[in-house]
Amino acid sequence: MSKALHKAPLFFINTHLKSNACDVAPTYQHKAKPATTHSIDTLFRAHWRDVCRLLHKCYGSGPPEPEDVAQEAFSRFAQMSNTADVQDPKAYIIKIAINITLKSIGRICKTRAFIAEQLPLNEELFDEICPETILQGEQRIAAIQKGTERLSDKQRDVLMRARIKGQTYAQISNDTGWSLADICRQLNTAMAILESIDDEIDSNSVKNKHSEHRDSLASNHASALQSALQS
Amino acid sequence: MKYKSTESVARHLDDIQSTAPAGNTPKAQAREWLTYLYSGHATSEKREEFVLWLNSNKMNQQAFTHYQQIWQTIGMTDSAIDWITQHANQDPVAKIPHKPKRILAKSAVLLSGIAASVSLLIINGVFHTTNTLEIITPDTVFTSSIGQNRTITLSDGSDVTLAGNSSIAVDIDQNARRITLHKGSAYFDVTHDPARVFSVTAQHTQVRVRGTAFEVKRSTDNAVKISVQRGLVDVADMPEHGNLDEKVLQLHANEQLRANIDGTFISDVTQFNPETEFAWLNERLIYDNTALKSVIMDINRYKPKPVVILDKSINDLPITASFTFNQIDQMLAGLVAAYPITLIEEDTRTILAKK
Repeated sequence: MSKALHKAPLFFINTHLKSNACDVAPTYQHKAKPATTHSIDTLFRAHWRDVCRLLHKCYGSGPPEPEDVAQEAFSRFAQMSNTADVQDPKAYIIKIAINITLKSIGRICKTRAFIAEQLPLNEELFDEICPETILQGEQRIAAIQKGTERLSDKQRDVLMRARIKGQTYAQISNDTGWSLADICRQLNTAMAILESIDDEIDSNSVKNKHSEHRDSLASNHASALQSALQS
Repeated sequence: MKYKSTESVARHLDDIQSTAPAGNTPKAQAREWLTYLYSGHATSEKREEFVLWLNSNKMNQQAFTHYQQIWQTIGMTDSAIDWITQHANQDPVAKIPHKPKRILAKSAVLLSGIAASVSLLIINGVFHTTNTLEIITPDTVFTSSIGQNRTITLSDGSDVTLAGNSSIAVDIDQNARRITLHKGSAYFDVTHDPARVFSVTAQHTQVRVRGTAFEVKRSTDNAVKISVQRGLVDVADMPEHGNLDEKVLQLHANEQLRANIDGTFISDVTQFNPETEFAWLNERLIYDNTALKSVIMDINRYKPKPVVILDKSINDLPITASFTFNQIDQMLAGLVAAYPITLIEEDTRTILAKK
């Protein structure tokens, strides 16, 4: 066989395939495009500058450089299979960008790694932002969103500086003039409020109650807890 | 309030934690541990204490896990986006109060400050045309990884299929649709738009269409190959010197043309078999008397470990074969069986050499 092929340089890896070569005509066809699919090119043109500016102003010029982070965030968004489910692509891309930036802060990485070591069965807690975590955790996100709306301005500011900007207590103190003790107390109170609302909404959901009732409970609970913790 | 060292903050924080009313429920303790660990001032002793606390009972673990989930979820809320947007829009305000100074000293500082500001403005005016942050919007770049094709829908509705290990830059606006093929091969199914030319540039060759289907491929020896499946395309060389006239050829369906790195057309317009040429869109490679080097170039788009031809004398060995992306290893084994070729596996590459 090989001798014959050597004389006439012709061989087939799979003769069956070759004999059907003509049948292998490209059946490449347009796939129906979902009407709601976000074109990454359009999103890129519309939001690239805003995302870069936001990262510049919040985290400085790097490293990592905001442009690199933005590029990575858009790229990850483009690779998602269910972008059509994302109602606000720009906000989503910013969330991805924040996560990428925070992952580049060594102190936060070490803390995450340390906690992950202690909770080996819960590695998904530290996963990057992704459609699965977003869409499967919609209920919890709604609860935490509601919780953050119940916080005082100061509590929200401390919480976001620590969690979103990745600042240490000392950095927050230097920026705001608040004492370490105050920052510590505000952050703990904010977390307690979020936890209570998450718990409340979770249990209400199990009982399948109406959402109006849930909001009312969450609101009352938050107010009560807030005054209790601040007294 | 300025803190001089991390150690002093950590000590201060430890004092705060130890004097604060101790939470007596797993939830309260978990909350305090979480905020402490993320405070940026946790000490190794405290971490050890945390590990002991966490492992002392299951309720502690559950409570801490719950708080960790909440902490992570904060980053997914719209409140986080609202806050960061507001925060970014705030002008930095000096928080540290200035001590009162004598009026003369104050005036001197003010005057020198004004002088410095004026100097800076002049320098800025001379050396910079703008004092706003300028971010140049780059083209959108799409790449495919080795081993698989990737299909993208552009904002104008056109579909692009990238062969493995290929890359394009896309620049689409109201007036034009400009694509640059950086590497590899791409198949374009272009949405008809009479108002905007769709152009694909590869090296010094440019393909211009308004609605059609074609492939542009960077092939061996730095050549570019254009193959048209449907419609009509203009292929232009792009002379480096402005005083040279551009040469344009028209290609119809099933016609093909090659150009070299300078854009010079190096073949006549020829007919091709679209079933063979576009088989890669269906994850198959088909060759009919094709030079081995071209086959290997295509294979390397889909094989993580690259294949390298060490012996130039086998570069142009004519190959006829049909195989799927999953049959590449079998095809290489078949080459060894059929030709006086040896296949040497190294850690990072596979070598083809004359036997």
